[in-house]
Amino acid sequence: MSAKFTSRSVLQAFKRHVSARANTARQESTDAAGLQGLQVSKLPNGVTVASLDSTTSPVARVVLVANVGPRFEESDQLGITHCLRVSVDQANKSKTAFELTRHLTQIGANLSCTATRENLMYSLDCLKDNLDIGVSCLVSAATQQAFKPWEIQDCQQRIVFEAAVVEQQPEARLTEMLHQVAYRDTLGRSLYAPSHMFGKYSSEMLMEYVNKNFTAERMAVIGLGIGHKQLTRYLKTMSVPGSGSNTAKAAKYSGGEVRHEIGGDTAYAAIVTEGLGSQNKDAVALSVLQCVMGCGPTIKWSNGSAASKIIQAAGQATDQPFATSCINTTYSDSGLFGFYAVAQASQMGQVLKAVLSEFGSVTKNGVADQDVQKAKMQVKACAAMMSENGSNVIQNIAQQLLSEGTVQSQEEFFRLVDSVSKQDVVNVAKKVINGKPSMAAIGNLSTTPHLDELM
Amino acid sequence: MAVAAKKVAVTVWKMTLAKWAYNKSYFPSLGMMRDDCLYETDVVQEAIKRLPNNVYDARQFRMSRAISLSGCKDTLPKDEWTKLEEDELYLQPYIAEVERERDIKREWNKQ
Repeated sequence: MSAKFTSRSVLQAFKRHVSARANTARQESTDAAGLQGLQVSKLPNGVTVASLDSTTSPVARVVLVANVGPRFEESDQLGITHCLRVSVDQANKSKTAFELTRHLTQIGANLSCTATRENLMYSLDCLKDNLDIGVSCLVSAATQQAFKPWEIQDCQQRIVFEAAVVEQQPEARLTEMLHQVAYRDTLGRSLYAPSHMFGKYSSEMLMEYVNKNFTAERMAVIGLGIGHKQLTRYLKTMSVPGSGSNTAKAAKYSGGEVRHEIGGDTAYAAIVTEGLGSQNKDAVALSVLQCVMGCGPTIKWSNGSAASKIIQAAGQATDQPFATSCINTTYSDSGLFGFYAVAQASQMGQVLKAVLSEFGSVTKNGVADQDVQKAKMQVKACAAMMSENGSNVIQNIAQQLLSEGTVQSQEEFFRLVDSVSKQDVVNVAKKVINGKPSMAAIGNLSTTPHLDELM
Repeated sequence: MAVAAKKVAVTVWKMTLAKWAYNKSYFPSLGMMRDDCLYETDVVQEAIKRLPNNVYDARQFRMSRAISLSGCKDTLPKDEWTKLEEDELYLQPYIAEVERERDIKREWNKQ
């Protein structure tokens, strides 16, 4: 990069340098509580690094997040993210599986891999003194995968087991079915491997997927309880497996209906329409609307009809046990908004109709002021309580950094929530609730109506 | 210059001896490679488990052909014998890796 050293450009560079120094000094001197101490920079290899130091806890957490979820799978690679996730502890280019496990147990650290539909997060928790070994284990597990063929074969058992566990949980299957019917591909891809792919993941397939998708601009490393200079120093030798840029296919919502009859006493159903992505300016208003509709009981073991409008409505339609909650799932460019209900098989029709009419009445009759106030308090309280846990904080920072490039502090978020007015909530309700619906149902569906019978 | 010439001379002599010894051995006349004949210790067995499928199948073929030939007290025609230049020590990388892993385990378990 050639630079013309005119006096003007030198002066501008000097000004930038001075103001950057002042900013850093200001950040470092601020109390590390909240996100004010957050420092974000870019490594020479292009990976974003963020760190938030804290002096109170001896635990440090480092998360390496890659924008590589099931969303990016091609149709011949279904479930490859599941395979990537379970092979986190296998041999990599710098450590054998045995060495990796022993290093981590020796320093008392936890290394895990979490997958959302958009991101794969490799997280490490360890004590601050052991960060050098910990971070080297993390980086080798996340970026230097070796995918030895005989170890991949051993991983297949884990994939089969996890898929079998999910098979036993109708709620988990319902979520997968709902996404599949709403989005088809991209966000509709399941988090878990399909049975026709068991044993079919090969070393070459995984290596190709990693080399295509683990690119520098889609990766970030976030440290909590570790200083920025220290973290950057540990990451100096990190190499990025992928190269080039791979733009994500935009998630296209289609809508539809899918049912799966498995018998039993209960029926599970979810009905959604397209919600808003996290970058949409009305996303906060939609969260408020979610709490207006009701997110389940706020007092443990209560039936929740005082807290939740939809529980109240469904409770009037049936006297048998049921559960219902409003869903608001947000991804970077799209989302799902609706509700999920579980009821006795014979009552499902009534429950669904009651909850749907509650959603309909919001678009027709609006919402009450005190409901909006209550919902705003609930949203803020929920966000505050989630941020009590370090691993929630770091995952939140990770997802925001990747999808938006900046991280919103809690104060900013609270200000946004407070600025939501009743009219905003009604407008977003009309926009979202009147969209094309998707329905997924599993269980004993003898009285569960089809989507066209409900609308 | 004199030193370099001496090195080459030793290698050529060694190569000739190696070729003579190889051709006098039994296993090339049955079409086998040296790594097919290794005694199957634990390390070698683990290395064999890690062979890619095509290499493993070729090994199995050579071994079955050799067994049936030696059963008839026969050998392959002279032009089909394995030559020293064609012999590939395919198992050595896997053996090295298994041994390295065992050494690492032993080091860790010493403490």
